[in-house]
Amino acid sequence: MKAPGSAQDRLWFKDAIIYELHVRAFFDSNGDGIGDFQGLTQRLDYLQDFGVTCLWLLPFFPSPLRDDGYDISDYLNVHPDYGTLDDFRAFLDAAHQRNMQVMIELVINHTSDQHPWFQRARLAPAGSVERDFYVWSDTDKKYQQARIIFTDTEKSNWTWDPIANAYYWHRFFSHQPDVNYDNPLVLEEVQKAMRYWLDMGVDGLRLDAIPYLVEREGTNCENLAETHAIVKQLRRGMDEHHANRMILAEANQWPTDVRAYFGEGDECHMAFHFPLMPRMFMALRLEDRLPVTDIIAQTPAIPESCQWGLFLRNHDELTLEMVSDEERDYMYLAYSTDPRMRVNVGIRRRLAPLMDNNRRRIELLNSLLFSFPGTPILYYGDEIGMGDNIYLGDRNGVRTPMQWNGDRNAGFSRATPAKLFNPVIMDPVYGYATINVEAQESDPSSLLSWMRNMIALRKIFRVFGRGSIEFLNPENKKILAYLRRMENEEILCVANLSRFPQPVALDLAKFEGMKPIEMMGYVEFPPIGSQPYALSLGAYDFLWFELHKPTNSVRTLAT
Amino acid sequence: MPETESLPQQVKEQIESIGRADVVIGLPSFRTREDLSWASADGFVGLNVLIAYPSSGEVLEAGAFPSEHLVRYPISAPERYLSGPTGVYGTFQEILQIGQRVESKACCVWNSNPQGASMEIIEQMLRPVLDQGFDLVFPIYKEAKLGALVNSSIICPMTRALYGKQIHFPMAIDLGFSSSLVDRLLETDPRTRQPRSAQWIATEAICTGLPVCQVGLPMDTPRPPDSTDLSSILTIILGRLFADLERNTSYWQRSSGSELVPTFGTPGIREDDAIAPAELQRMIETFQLGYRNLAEIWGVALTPATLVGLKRLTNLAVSQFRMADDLWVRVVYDFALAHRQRAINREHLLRAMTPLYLAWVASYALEMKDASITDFQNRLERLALAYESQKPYLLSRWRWPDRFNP
Repeated sequence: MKAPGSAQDRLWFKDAIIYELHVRAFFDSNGDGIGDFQGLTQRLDYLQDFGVTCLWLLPFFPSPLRDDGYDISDYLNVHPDYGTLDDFRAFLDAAHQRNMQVMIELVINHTSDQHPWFQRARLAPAGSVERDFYVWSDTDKKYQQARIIFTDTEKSNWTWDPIANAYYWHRFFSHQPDVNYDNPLVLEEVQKAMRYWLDMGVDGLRLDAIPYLVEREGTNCENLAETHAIVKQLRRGMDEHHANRMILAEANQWPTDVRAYFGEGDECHMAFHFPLMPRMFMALRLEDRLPVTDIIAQTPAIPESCQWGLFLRNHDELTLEMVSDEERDYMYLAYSTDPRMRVNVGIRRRLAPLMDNNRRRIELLNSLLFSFPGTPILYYGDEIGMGDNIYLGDRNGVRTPMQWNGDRNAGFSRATPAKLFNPVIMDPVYGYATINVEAQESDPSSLLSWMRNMIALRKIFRVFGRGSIEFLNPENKKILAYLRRMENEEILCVANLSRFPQPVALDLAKFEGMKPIEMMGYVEFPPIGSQPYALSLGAYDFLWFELHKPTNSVRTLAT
Repeated sequence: MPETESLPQQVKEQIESIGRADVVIGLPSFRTREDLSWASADGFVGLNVLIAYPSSGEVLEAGAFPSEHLVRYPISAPERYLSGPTGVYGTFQEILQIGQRVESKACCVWNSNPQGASMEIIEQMLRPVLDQGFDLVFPIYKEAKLGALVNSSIICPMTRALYGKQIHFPMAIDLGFSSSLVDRLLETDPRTRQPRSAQWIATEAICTGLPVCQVGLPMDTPRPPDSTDLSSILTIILGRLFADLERNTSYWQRSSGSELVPTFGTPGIREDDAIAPAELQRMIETFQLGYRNLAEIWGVALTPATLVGLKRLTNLAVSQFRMADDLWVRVVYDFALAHRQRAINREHLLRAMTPLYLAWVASYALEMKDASITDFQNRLERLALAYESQKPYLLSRWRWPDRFNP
């Protein structure tokens, strides 16, 4: 019998609002300057009230923390900084009691070089099973077509290990050796780890760096058929023993390549839509809908049981790998004037600073996030417009403590400020004295209140998570207009990407006679006629309409 | 069988020995054998009937009804008014469990005084299930100008406006169920982690799209015990009604208009006495006192325009005391919104509505003093339409909560 998940609907992830957070950065319950599971559990009411339905936890496993936990040294435990396994179980139960699902990371491409598997491998004789847990070579010239991902820190995908007297393969940092899926024992161990957490009740797994699992000479070592075979085996293993769970693929690839990770509904349930994200920013800055409509047009259909994961910002840089060289140049110039804002192939900034803290721009981008086809994924702190710290190394500038109130350490921790794992944001615009949850909870006009309302509104209409999308093609290119449709639900979304008011005439002839009802205020607009439907939108304005058929209600009581 | 099944082993064994029954009649309010004097094995021709009664009453012996088809079950919660299928407490869950165990086709839970029932009435309640495929049957009790005003001024028109179904008594305590609805009600709702039967059954059925109907019965509306005060009744009923709005947001926010549910039989009419002038005076004074003393709570729930409307009312003489439907509907909707926003303790909030309800009753009673039956039916229809026409107001404030309201 399959172990049930906390969700009743097997497609729960289609209607979810996912909230990404790092346990370390959320709330510190014991005053050691580092967030922990007990702290997170204490803040679940906030998250429930905010309206999110699924929590995605960044890696919380034992790790030397040289890559914020993505360098795992033990898959089956909790990093002592964050608490114990019992703390995790208590958190999981508490989240489920609040009807929230929980997704964790399954980093299966690589481990930390401190993982016992690697320590054992480097000492084991060449060709032994233990040695073959990783990818070794006597030369660093193999797989030359594979690109280097962390261009700022790594010069090669091979690093010499003096103990093993061989090079080992790593697609990311040199302290993160890639495991070797040509060794069947590796998959066996990974499946054990997967089952361990699923048996505990975890609802979803984010598969990190999924395109790089297998290497083959003469290829770029990405998206290989052998990699898909591994993913299929993981999925089969999950489906065999567990019901209503989900796998989310991190594959920073073009839509056609990502499409393969859905398989025929037998690989991942969800995958991030990486190329869409920078194009939303680009469309906004260019005041032109083309980048968005173009990438959606290039996005292939996916199986009915699958879903795109949409996001504006996350714990990484605003990645620019999936744009053309010219587009990348534009994005750097548009959104990272200070070189310190750049890292690897991207921009390490949070949403609010990217928008120059302009509330209307923040709202507009979120309106797109909430109304495009897919499941929205929010990054902790962006709901209150938190800022970043570009003077911190790597991507730590967007991983600072959550700003709960105006007290010491932003209410995140009682520790002396010097003990915090990262300093809190203190600048006059985004600092915790100005930007914090407590202040915004008591302000009905705050960004937090706005976000909460938007989430509640989106949850009313399943069409947002499950319906189709069809772009309209008005003459004014600064207007992005699209229809979301499912069964008898029809939603019209219109967004003005410009900083000035814009007119638009929409061809809605096929909806003639229907009544558009503006969704937030339930305001009835004039019925749609045979002529183009004229609207005017203020700067960065957006409108969502329910399209209602004329009703013939019965108004007679029984006699 | 559901995880939450509460039947003791002894009852399960008895049911097993009975095997199957086509119809189960449950009587949670049973006390003495006189309560079942009407039971007869001849009812429901050709169908096998089982009667379930609680162990809090007398033990029944073989009489007109064969003892092997009587099941005495212990109840899991104290019985009280509104404890039945309105879903506030689960005293009838055992009946549904019995119905499920004997694989009954239909199940009637009769929460009213059993002496008011008869095999004919029960059969009326269950025929739509047995013969026409309905899943839930509501009774229509005899209508009276001044009877069941909580129902006719709030529950009935609000259910109609929000859920689109014209049901006279959506929170009736006597109901007929199909087997498929019984199965559903015994499941656990993942959203509340309670059996669905612990929720308001009308909306459970409507939101699931199950066919519902109503049956005119020759009996008065069940009355609460004299010891039950109005504030408590309002708190329980409105609490249920408002909590359900949160549970079913995606249904009622997307439905528009309303339709009459299939209705069988003719609802009766009951003449009632007018409210005494002194009583009316007392109601209005309670409202006026409320306006002075509850301003803080009302200020949290009600918009400035509504408060001004109420202030105007406080200055009216008894003879001119009239509360407009739109004002009353906004009061109800505003309280529903405040309940959702948890701005203050929910029980305090709901209790603060009592003087406002009394104001509406006084206004309505004065208006209906000399009205005919047709007049009062038309009057309530106008009120129901006001609830429907004001629904966008509720929707807009629900979707975009803001203190800055008109």
